[in-house]
Amino acid sequence: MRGTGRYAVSRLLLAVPTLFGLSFLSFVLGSASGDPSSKLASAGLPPEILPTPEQIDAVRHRLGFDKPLLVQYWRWLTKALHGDLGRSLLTHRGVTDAIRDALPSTIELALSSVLIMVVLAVPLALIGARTRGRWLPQIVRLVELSGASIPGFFLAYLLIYVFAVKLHLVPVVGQSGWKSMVLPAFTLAALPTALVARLLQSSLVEVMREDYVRTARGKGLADLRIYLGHAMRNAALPVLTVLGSILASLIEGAVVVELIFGRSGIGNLTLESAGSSDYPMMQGVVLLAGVVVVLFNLAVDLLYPIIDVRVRLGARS
Amino acid sequence: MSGGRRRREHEGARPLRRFLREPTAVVGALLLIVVTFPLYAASWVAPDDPYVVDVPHRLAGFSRAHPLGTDGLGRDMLSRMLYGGRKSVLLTLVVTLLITFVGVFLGILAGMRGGIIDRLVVQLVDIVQSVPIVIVSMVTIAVLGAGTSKLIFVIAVLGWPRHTRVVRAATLSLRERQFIESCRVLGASRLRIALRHVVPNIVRPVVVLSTLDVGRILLLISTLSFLGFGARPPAPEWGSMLADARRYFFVAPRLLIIPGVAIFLVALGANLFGEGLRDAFEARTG
Amino acid sequence: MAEPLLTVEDLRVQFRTDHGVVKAADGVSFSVFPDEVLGIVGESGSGKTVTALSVLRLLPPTARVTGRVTFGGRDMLALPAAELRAIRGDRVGLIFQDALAALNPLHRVGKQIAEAVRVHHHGTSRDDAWKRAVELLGLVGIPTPEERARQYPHEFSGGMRQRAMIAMAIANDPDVLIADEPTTALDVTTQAQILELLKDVRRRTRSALILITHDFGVIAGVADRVLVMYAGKVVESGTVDEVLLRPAHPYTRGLIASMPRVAQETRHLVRIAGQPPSLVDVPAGCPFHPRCPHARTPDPCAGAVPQLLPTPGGGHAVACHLSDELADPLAELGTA
Repeated sequence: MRGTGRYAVSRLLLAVPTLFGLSFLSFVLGSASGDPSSKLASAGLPPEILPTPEQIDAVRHRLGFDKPLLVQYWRWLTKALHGDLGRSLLTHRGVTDAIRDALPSTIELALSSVLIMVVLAVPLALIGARTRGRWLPQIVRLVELSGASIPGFFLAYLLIYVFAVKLHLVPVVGQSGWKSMVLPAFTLAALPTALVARLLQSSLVEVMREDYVRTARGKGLADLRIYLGHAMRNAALPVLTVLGSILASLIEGAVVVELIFGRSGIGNLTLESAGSSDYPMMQGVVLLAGVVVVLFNLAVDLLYPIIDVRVRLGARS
Repeated sequence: MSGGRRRREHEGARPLRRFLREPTAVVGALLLIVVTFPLYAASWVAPDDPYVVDVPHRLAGFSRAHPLGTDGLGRDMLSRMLYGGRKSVLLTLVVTLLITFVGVFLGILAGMRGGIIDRLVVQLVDIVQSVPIVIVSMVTIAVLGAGTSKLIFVIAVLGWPRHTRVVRAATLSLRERQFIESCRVLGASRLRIALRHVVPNIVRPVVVLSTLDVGRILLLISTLSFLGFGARPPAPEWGSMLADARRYFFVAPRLLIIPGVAIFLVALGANLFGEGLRDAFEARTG
Repeated sequence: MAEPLLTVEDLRVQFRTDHGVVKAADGVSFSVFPDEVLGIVGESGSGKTVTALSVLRLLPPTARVTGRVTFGGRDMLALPAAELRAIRGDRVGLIFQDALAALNPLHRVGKQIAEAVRVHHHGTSRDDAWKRAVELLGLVGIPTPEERARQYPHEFSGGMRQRAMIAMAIANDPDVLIADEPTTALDVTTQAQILELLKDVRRRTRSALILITHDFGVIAGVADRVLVMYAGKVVESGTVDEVLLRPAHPYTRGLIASMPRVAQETRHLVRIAGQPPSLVDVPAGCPFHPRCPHARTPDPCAGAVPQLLPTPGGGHAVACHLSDELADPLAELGTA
């Protein structure tokens, strides 16, 4: 499949400069927070004694902060590619270790949200696409747009109040057991569900207008069968293209959700590091988030031809 | 030829009629007006100074003097909501406008110029869109310091890619059309073509996109303020007010509910209105 | 005279749009007899496609359809959904114009044909249905059908796609085939091949064929009877020989005269003056009168709508107030 090979290569070529630009951005953000040399120099000294300028300069030179920006960037990048993202200014632990410890919890949360999203968005889109009449389509639209309009931090407290405090169905905070995942996952899923439902719905409506749907009807297929068998696959294509930004919004939402529900994770890490100007951690987190999104987009791009066969064989659509 | 007895309708009449036929669109418009109107008139409507602290009367319920009660420091909630809302909404509008201008400019630039400039813009779009905006905003504000002007700057610098993509695509497809070519042949400068031909054609999709962005940006600003990266206390802002109210969750949940509902209503209004606009502008075939 | 297979009585199809009410079909009536080919000819917008689609109720939900369509003793327009679905694809087969758009681009061709079989024969296994699909592809003249069945629509050429559509339409040996402009999107040589295939297939399955086209040449080659439609109404109907040799309606004469003929030297291409009317604003009385060289306005041509009545010479029917006077067709043909 020569066509696929070329397509894959071209996608990869596009991703590489993005990754570079991204890593540079991460680096610059961190180092712009100032030169931590004085802080580091005073780390080894008792609190009352201030480091001398020579000591600060020594630290600066040792850690390479007196070199030009690009050189520093290169050194950081090469070390990062080997898995070394430096040490947190806050905890003095390795940044890579901290990230690695925090990742599973966030991934768990994200996957649960995705599950909820799929389970809710698909039926919602189907209902929205099928109904005619005066009121039901409006209600569906209202539900969908509400999901996109409610701030995560507010939804979280609403859900906590109703389900944990009043109904005692789930624990308020904590990370143990699947029950404690329910509210955080639903909170995080609200926005992506709304967006996907909206997009899928309008895509379905478009697809149902296509000629091949008429042919399917002409063959005697029932409506539901047409929706699921013919329309869904074609309608899902535009949704694929926004999956990357869905992932990005999941990562963002995790910051708030982890804070409110007391979960440890990448979001938490970001918040702490930004709050305390822990620049190596900030660099690490931004880099991670960006790389994850870029790689995910790349994966979607490479997966696309498998689903849309017209691209696979280089045909004009 | 017979027919044509119908008088020519005004260009804008048909979209308006389509808009009015959708209840949710109208509801959206009304919501926006009703919820934001008092905000403009904050200084007249507010019963109190939002900064005045009155500890003996803290966490009071609804009363004549304080229609929405008082917060943890005894400040009048209604006043804080009004002034805070004005801040939130104004910030949102300013940022949205900035993003629109930057995005449209870059989109037309990339579409009209092509070549290296186009590639650069596309690459920039790719990079900026890769990192979740909340995370980069937090980190950037950590570097620059909190405060509303920093907030505006950060979001404006990060939020334009969507506009640029849409406008660039529209510009490229417009360029393909014959009449642009004939303008070039006649000697019109690129700038002239851009202004006279491209811009009028992108007005509608850009308006829809920006309206829909209002909700997204309001949510972003509130979230950043909630997390402590936005407006600095004691300045009222809906997001940070909700954050302050967290410790009173069990005692006075209304302190959380009121700002939350307010944000929700404005965002919902903007989204409904934007969707209504989109449907109204789209020509519907039988 | 055999019993008609399908009878359409006073079919009216309307759409509500932003611009007003579109009368796509306005009082169309005709019958289709077993084993015959009925051609429906007219310009785009004449209502021919809408008429054909409404037989199986395949119009978009915004369409308002009234009238009666009798098939197998039942009124199709009143049939409950489940029974309608049983007829679609089984007793009535459809062939659409743009096969690329009419086939699902993400499904293999064989699968789409097999689906047509399995929907109506529930017991059929996937294997058997697939085998039947391959068999059908071979029947319509597609070489190496086993390989082709595994391919996707965009991998077929235009002519092959049309053959695949035909294969899908005849999968269940229908009583009636409806072909909507089956050759319009094809080049001339392929057109001829597809028409031959249609004739062949029809003969084999003994189904009636409703052939919709704007090309009188196609009608001449394939059809037994023909309906001429204009602005949603039938303006002339009869056997192909009658209508071609003795066209009674000025529109029909214009259509026939405008066919470029290779063997004849012409200095100008004949065309019918004017444009087809907007279906929102159909002219009063006879819809063709604004373009008709013989029209007498306001009376009678802009007054009452002419009914479809037998021609003075017998043989076919025409809807024209002036049919008696215009009975001499020879003056219209062969103008150079």
